[in-house]
Amino acid sequence: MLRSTEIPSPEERVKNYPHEMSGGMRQRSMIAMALACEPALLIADEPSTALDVTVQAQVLKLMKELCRERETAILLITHDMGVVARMCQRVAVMYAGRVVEYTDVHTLFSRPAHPYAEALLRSLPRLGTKRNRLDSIEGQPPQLNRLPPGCAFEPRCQYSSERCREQAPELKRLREGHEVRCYYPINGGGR
Amino acid sequence: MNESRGLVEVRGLCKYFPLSRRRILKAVDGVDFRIRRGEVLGLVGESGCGKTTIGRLILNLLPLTSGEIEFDGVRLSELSRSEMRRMRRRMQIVFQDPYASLNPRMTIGNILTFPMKVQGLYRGKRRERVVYLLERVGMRASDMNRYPHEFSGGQLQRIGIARALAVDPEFIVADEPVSSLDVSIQSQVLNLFKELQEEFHLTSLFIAHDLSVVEFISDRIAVVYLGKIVEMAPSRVLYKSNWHPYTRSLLSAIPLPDPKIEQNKPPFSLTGEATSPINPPPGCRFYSRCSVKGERCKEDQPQLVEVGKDHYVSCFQVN
Repeated sequence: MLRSTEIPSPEERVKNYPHEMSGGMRQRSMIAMALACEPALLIADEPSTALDVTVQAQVLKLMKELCRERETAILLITHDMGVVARMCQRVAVMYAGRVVEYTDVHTLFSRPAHPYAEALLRSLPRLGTKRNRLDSIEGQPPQLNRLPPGCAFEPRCQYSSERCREQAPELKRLREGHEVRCYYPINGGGR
Repeated sequence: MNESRGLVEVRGLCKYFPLSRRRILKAVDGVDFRIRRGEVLGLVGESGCGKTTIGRLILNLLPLTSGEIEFDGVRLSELSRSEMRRMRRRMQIVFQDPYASLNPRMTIGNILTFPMKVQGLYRGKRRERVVYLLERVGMRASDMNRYPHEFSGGQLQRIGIARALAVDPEFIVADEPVSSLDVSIQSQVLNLFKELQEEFHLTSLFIAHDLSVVEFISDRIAVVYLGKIVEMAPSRVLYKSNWHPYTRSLLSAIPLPDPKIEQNKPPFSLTGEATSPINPPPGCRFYSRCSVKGERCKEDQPQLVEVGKDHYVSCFQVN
């Protein structure tokens, strides 16, 4: 298993304790451990967040290749939209404890339907595009013990109405394979 | 590097930490650069490459092993303690972790007044100045009576920026000021930083590991690898026509928020992990991971060479 995760001289390394390894090698060992019993599903919770960007690229590549060979599905939990774009086929966007949009990765990035997903994508600094200002989402994320009665994103949403304040929307099907929790979805979804 | 003198001039900067008699950690090992007045220089690199150490050396928060730092033509190493304290009014820092860098037992008002007291500035007008600073960074005047734990990370970072501005500095070192913040908050603070940069006519050294953040905020970028600058260029140039193999790996490693690009990219090719800065080998620091290395790279260390206007690269293979 250690060899399959490309840890150099695995025969020696297998005797090491975690503190004798670098962050990248520890995460490789975790992947080896998780895949050892050939699971059908791997849940990866921010697997590369603590790593440097070149080591992250190595670990993500490794995860992708190993899981493809073994036909293991991955539930990848991350805050990094770049990692989503690199790794995923389908995406569920969460806000304040709820899925607000659920679709394939290409639709999410080209035609996001939920105002939060759209604003989040616009607020990212992007390499190679010189801009004077970033679009940002005003306000703060809500406190989970004091959620408003309506839509949790309503206080920060530029499209909100009375209806959003009073009752939280359900997750509704917009088209095949695309669901969104919003009364006023963007991009040809009825507005 | 001729042109006009910079506000900050750094030459041959080295910082070695002796770990034991035979083990020396070379955190910064021969760094030269200049920051021109009104400019933002971005310092980008992975953890442990020496970015933070460079920032602290410039502010004289750490003694240097060798080299020279000039601020507005004055060598910092020649200043006495009291001269240095006066000089500090002109150079301030914003730290990475706003929870750790603001005293939890002081009110926001006292936190912002403190640097003015130390410098003996704004006597009798400090309260007004605190109100002005708070409002300028997007907070309310009434926040001065509250304590740090009552605020979120983004708000605390705004306060950290206000504190740095309290004494009207000319130069700011911003050490990963947005890396502990959520994405949606990060863009708010970056915008604020950019506005203040112009309004206060600041010159800045902006340190971050996230290249897209550095590119947004900086006029020029220096890429640091294991205590050395490997490439330095105007930010637009660095993205489009980079030369150093490490800069190229770094750029291809960054996951871009675009599945069309990401899912058609060739698999990431850089192998291995960074060489240890403890007793590093004699040649190029990137040697062990480099795909274009030659004989010479193992023995000699390349120097920064100009390859285009304002564009410097330290690599034997591109000359």
